[in-house]
Amino acid sequence: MAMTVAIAYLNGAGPSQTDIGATTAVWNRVDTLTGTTVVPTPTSTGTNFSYVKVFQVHITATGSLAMSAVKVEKVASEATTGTKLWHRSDHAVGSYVQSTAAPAATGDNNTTAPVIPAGGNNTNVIAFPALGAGATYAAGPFSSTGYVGNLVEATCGVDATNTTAGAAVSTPTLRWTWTES
Amino acid sequence: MSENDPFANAVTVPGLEHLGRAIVDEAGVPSGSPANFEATRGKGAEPLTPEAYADIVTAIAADLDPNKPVDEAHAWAADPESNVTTPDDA
Repeated sequence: MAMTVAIAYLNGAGPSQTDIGATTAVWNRVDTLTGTTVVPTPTSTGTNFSYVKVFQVHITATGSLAMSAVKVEKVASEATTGTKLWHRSDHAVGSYVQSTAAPAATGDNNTTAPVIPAGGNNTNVIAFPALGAGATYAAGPFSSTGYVGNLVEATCGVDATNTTAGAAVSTPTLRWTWTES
Repeated sequence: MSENDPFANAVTVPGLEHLGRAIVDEAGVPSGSPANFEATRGKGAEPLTPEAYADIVTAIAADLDPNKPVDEAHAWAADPESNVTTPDDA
């Protein structure tokens, strides 16, 4: 039997941990998964960011297997000009910081990595790699149920080259992959 | 044949018969990798484990260009000719 795994979303001060599966996560400016507080498009060269969204892998049943070599990647490139997904995965769960503000705007169009969390630094912050191009961020093996691996802290940058107006736009699906053995 | 023979349900692949049978995935499709053929790995080889994954779909809450007010954008989408000058408008 395969493992049963969910992606958990972490928010609030606690934090609260909620399994979200393939639910749509919204890049917004509020500390919720689906809030609609917008990320404004800059009026001149620069990038505004969403609040940081924090995720973690949650093993709910092991099926007598162990998880190893966990990666997180985007399944396709950003289709909307002027949007880019960034993240870091080097913080353990004990380093969780609640999102109460967006990372500071940068002065170029999605070139400079944002600070994560807001008020922090951009060390080890990178764009999400394409499918097959990512590196293992959690080696494992994880053979027990529970929340495993580092936090994946992600944000979406909206820069001045974006010209979409009037409606929400899709950004790439994020995919966690691992080996079960 | 051992009950644990990982090649028990595997198949030979045309042109690669000399490598023995190929381990197949859960869909019955041979891996195609020479490393997963009987002759190169032996019957003690572990069966292929499909790579597992979990997805999150993502979207931006609302994507607003300050130079294109929301109402105008919606109007264009609903009636693309609304800004076209016609004799009646002139």
